[in-house]
Amino acid sequence: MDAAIEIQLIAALTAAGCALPGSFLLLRRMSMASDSITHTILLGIVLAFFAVQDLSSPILLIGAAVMGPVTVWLTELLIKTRLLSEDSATGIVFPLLFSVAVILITRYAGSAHLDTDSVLLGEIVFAPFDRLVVFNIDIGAKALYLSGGVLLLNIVLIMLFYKELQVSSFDPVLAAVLGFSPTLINYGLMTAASLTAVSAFEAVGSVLVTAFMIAPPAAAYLLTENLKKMLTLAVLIAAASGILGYHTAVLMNVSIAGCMAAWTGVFFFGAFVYSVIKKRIGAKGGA
Amino acid sequence: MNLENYAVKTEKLTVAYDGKPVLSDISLELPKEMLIAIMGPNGAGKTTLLKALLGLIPKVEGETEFSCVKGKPPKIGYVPQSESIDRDFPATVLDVVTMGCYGRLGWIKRPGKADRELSMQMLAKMGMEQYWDRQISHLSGGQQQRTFIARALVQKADIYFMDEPFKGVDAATERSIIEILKELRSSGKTVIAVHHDLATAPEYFDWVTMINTHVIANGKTEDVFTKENLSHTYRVGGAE
Amino acid sequence: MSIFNIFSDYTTAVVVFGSALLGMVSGLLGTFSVLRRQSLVGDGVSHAALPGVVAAFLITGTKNSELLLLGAFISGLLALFLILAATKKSKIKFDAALATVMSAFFGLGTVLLTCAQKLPDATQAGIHNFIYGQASSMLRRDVTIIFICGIFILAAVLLLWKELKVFIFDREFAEQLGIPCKRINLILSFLTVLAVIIGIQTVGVVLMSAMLIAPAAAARQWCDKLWVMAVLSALFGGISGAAGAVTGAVAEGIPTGPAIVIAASLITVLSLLFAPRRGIIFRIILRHKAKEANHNGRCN
Repeated sequence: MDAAIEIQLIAALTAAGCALPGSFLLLRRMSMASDSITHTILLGIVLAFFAVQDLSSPILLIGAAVMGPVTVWLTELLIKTRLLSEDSATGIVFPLLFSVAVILITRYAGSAHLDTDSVLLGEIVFAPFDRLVVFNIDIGAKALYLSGGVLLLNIVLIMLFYKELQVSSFDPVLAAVLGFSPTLINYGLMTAASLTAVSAFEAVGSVLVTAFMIAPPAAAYLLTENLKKMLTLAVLIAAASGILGYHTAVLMNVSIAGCMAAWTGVFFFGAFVYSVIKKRIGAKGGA
Repeated sequence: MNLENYAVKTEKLTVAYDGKPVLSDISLELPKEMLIAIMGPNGAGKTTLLKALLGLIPKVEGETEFSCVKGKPPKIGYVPQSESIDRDFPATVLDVVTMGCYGRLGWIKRPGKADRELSMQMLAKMGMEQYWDRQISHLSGGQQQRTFIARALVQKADIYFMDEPFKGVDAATERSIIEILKELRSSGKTVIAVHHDLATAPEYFDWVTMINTHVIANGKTEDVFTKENLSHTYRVGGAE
Repeated sequence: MSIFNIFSDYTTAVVVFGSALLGMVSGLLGTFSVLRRQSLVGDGVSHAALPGVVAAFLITGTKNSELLLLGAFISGLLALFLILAATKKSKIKFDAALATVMSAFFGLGTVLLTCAQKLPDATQAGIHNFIYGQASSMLRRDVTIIFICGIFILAAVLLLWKELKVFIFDREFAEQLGIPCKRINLILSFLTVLAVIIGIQTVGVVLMSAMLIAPAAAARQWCDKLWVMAVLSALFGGISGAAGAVTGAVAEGIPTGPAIVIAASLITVLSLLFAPRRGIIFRIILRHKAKEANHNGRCN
């Protein structure tokens, strides 16, 4: 397959995969949790690296994925003391874990070439070089399978647990009364979000994962009042941002991930303007 | 038949936030097949009591016990306080009402045609069937409350917990809600509702529980709804 | 370097002084962000500053701190206005608007950065410094900027003290009193952006939010009065800044920015545990007493 097409596919699949768990984070008013976990993932990678001393080990990804729920758990531990509000607790936990990660890297892992920039900023251009070879046959870029697999996983999870996610996001007390533990669902969602973020950061970097998790759902949220339509739209907007971002970047010879993130912002802004105009017209029509 | 005639019983229930007791040493027996009002001033712990009875918040100490219905633990229905609802959530009226079926379905299984039909029936009962496709932010306060009552009916519960079901609703809705509550009572259900309006309480409810951190009074409306108890409950400050 | 001759070394003394000053300024303003439950604004603004920094560099072609800071300030403020406008004019919630705008701005920033890297004079270090901060390269001139901004912020806070106090605790009441809440909100946003921007160079984008939150969250545990909280928060911020900078200078391979954040977090954790009345340990003792009292009859 052509490298350009592969990159576009990876970009679209990655962004679409992020938009799905992100939609529920948005509805639960936990958008900033995505920012939090995408930063603390770094600590998961560093700790796993110290354990296995191998940069290409899949254990690193597992370490990173575990860090998401751990971050949420620590944050909730602080909130439960009722001494801090939710936003303060979030804003204390993730910079702390991130600081620990940065110190560990600079002090101990300097010689191991654990490249923090690639974690934070990612580089999708290199994705096609890492091939998946089965029985000596090159069947495409590894990232293609990773991002496709994560998107598929998210789709399957949301199809299976659609009603649980819907009811616990809308009315957690009812969910608890009905026997769907909101805590269990919350940690399940955070694990999925964390796994998704981990799969995405190699391509787009952890800082920009937030853009794909929250901006497309935010745009979709403004465009529709139906949850299923919102999820579909969020995925489409995310995928479109991926492809448009790629072409813009190539045209201007700039960062692909950055362009993708900027495009999600453009879509959000468009949806925002649309919703304002719609409201105005509605108000005039009603008067 | 069950010999016990209480629906819910608590003993020495204590709940604290920040080390301050919100509910202190609450021992109550709430009877079956009655409309029960939980009353008290703001900050008396009414919503906290509902949630503590449902086992949704951690308590310092105390026991809560539900009596069985036909040999099984009772099914619980729930109507939230209208302000606690995110009206912008992308859900239609029918989506909200169908959530009432989820408990019966258990994990993973999706609601089917029968569930949607039941939901539409209950919507019709509340006079809301023509709005089934509306997103909830486009409803009036009364319509929103009708939707949530319809959802509670879909739950087919034995005991209903309602947090201020009459708050922010119009007179017609209030009348139709009280009709529904009476209907629930005559079919053997129990309704436990947080209620604010002193004027309507004796007319609507059979049983009144007055709390202000502690239990002030608990009994049949005609016995308990006295000037003395009311002034004791609503006295500003409350504590000695 | 040993801890004893740290102040005889001029460069280090500058860094320690600058970091302490920065901690004080952000601690002071963090008080307001934390009480308004908008702690994460700092995080948003600092990420959103990137395109401004790079654009300033692209336009002027200099690495002059003042101009880059001005660029950062403008783009941070613009992002904040977009966030506020989005929450006000649509059903989008604050946290979602914050996450969307900050990440889109950051994306735009990385795009501009790749443009900047094509210029002959550019180095790769730019983004690295921006993300992690570069306290050890702090110059006297940077400290002067922090100092001037700090004095300005302090003066503004003192001048508007009464209005800020009412505004924070009860906005409706403030409006009834005729306090121009919109303008106060605007000024507060302006000051917060300023405090964040001057800190990015030192502790970096990701960690700047902690500089606003941790000292204020710690201070909140010790008192109920706003002015005590503001003073304590500034003090905690100052101590964290100095402690982090000293650690960075003394210990090999420990970057200053993260060291400052860890110092501030440590103060917060200690406060959560040991503060009188609110602290966790105090509450455990209280609960034991309450249980005993409950058994010996009621007390209130």
